[in-house]
Amino acid sequence: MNRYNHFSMQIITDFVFLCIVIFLCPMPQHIYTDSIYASTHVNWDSLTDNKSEELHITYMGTPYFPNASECGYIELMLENRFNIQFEPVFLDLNAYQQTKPLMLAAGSAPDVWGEADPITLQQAIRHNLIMEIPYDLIKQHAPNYVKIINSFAPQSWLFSYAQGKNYGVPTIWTDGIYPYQCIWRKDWLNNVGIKKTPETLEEMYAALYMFRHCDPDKNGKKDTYGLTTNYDWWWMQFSEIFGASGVLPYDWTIHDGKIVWGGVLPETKSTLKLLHKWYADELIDPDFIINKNEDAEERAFVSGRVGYACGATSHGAASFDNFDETAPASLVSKLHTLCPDAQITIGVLPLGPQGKRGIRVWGGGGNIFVFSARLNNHPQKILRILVMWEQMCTDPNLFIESKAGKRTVHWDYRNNANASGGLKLLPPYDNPHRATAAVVNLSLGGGPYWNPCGAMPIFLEQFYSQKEIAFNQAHRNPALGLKDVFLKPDVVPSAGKYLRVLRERQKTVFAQIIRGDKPIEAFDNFVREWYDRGGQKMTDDANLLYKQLSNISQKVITGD
Amino acid sequence: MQLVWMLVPVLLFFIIFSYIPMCGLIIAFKDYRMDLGIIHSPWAGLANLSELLQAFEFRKALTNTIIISMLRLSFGFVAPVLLALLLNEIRVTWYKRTIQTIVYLPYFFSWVLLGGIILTVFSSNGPMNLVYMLLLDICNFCLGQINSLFGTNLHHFAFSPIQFMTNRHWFLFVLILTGIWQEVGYSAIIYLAALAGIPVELYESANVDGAGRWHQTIHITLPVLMPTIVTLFLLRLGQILNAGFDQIYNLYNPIVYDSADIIDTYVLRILQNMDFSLATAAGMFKSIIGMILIVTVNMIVNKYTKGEKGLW
Repeated sequence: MNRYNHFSMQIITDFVFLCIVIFLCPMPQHIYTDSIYASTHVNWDSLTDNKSEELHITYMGTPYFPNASECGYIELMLENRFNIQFEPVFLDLNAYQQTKPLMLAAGSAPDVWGEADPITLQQAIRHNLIMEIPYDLIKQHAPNYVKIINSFAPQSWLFSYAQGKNYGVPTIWTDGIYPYQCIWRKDWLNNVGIKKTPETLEEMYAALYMFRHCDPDKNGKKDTYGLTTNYDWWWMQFSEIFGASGVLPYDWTIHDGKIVWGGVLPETKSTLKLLHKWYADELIDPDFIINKNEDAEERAFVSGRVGYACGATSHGAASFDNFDETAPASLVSKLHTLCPDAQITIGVLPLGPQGKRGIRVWGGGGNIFVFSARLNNHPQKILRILVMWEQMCTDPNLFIESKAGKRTVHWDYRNNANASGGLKLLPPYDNPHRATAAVVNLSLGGGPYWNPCGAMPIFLEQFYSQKEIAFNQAHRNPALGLKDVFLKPDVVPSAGKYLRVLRERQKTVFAQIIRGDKPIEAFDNFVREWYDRGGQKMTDDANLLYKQLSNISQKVITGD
Repeated sequence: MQLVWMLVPVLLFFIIFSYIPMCGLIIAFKDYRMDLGIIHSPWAGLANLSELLQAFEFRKALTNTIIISMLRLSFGFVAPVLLALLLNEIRVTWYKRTIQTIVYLPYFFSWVLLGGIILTVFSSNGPMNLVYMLLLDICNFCLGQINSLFGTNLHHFAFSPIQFMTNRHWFLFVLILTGIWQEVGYSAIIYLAALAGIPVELYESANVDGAGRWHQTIHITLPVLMPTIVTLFLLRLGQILNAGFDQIYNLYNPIVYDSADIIDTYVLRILQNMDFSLATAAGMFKSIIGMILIVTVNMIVNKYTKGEKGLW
């Protein structure tokens, strides 16, 4: 090959390479332009939605269906019914947390998306990325939906509240009001000679002590513990133990008429002291801190490492589904696969010395759906979506179809024609992977993608089995659920600046105290540090917010 | 002329992916608002940098980053050189290749996966603690024998599991060890390539002069490797404030936050709060420190090698 050919080959290669580079690097079109989100004032009063006009809407629900794709059954059904052309975005939880801020910054936010975290929601408001949605507008177009929110969780309006304006639509999580319940290995209790399932903290201590030191599984090895927790989940770590003193260590509570942080209260200190004693007596699995999997506690229970479990599993240890022998993924099925003779008994939340018992619940508020500030130019999209949600929570057929798909294709009744036996997913959707790919699931109480509405009492009879209703009545009494005053602690305005850092600090200090790396006196230093490093500001803000909350509640109540 | 053309793709790559994005650094000096865009966001001067440097969390993260990086540099930098030297001494080809493949393999696994494996291996009832228990059993058995033979009364060791992941010193040990384990095979390749370039005649003549393996390594192999080692060392210094985000994020827990929270984990928290200006300021701070280090050390190297072994 001559020199000239060499040269031209080189140029061709360079050109191809350049093309690849340019192709791979879409130049940011928005960031150097004036403004991504032009703000024009919307006159809501004169706005009407022409139903015959097809609307194109990009939509991102909650990030629990990462393997789903466009044009699923539910999407097409909704498109037909509401004359919308959806472009859904499906992300997994990690991508959602990390990619979403970048999507917003790059100007490619969807028209409608779900926000789980009030801190990022408040930031999005600060960056002017989402639209103000007047409460009255929502009430006008989705009156029943608003009524349900106000009856379940009026506090959830706070998640999207800033400077006296509302910026989103709360979702309803009816399952969120039912507290988790604890379960015990009945055969272990029998093996160590305990006849009665423990009901108080003292009885619990005695049983867990035996679980560690008296070889409850009779394998001749000292390889069992009393309990563990998922320490990464601040909301559930040892929640029933703290609940026995009536505190939530990572939430705002009312104390002597004022809002205070649960983590600085004397009850928290005494519970930490107790937990340290339990740890020193080897009742607590020493690996509890490195647990990162959401099913860590369930895994320890199923594998026979601990004989007690409560809240730190994805649906709570004692959920109705976990006792379904026919479902291969249920806790009881997994336990019996590994240990056929194992027996489980459902206990009660431990009673503390002051006669208190309880465990943290999120309450009926779920996430928040928000609308991109770009919709200033297409506000009728908002009306169409509101109407869709309103129908989803009033029309039972649409409700179930937008959550679980089509009857006889995706799901069916267990006993032929009615719900008395509950619902089941049909093959191949009984495989969890196939179910998420089709965006169908049977946890009707929450976890929405298309439908933000939990199962209302009116739907219970139609879709819940009698057994499940009876189970929840017997074991999951809403009165035992302990809630944050605002349902989510990060609603407080200055939380964005301080809360995450202080929460991590609290996790560290509490773990050190429980393990005995630091004496219990370290708690008092922590309280001082907490107030100094932003806690005081947050507490002041929380008290102000609480006053606003009563105003909002007033409005919500009188408005109805 | 041809050589210049061959440079074009590389230049383009750096211009597009490294130099153009640098314009984004002005975010660090602005109070960046997404709705206004980069250009129209109001200027904030040095407010972000000063907020960063005043934040207790950032200063702690900076200290931790430096400590972890120094440890990595001290142990992690020597390991691939040693591995390359050892591999170079193996004469049986299939054996050498097998070993090389095995040590190279962990490099291809992501830290998400390795994190799960390592947490299990180092947990209180994991394989590492079983090995430890076995060692103690052997010690106790020996002590028992000594006691019965000599009538002494030496105490047995009691077993309590080592808290690898929740003791800050052990945690650093695990961090450095698993970091080396993951990277050593990959890093050794460059040294192996350099070693392959050493003329065989040098070894042959050294052999004739009566130099053994050890002397050959000291007087031929290492001096030839030196420029590669210095170059890689300089490049590594520029990365000193990258303490290994993936690894730490997947391994750490609240008990070791105090000693394992690094700049990158701190920046992630800021980014999740959508505070882009502060996050950019932190990133810029890292880059500036890295640049200062490279320039200084390069000057020092040039001074002591009379301009022969520096990068430029």
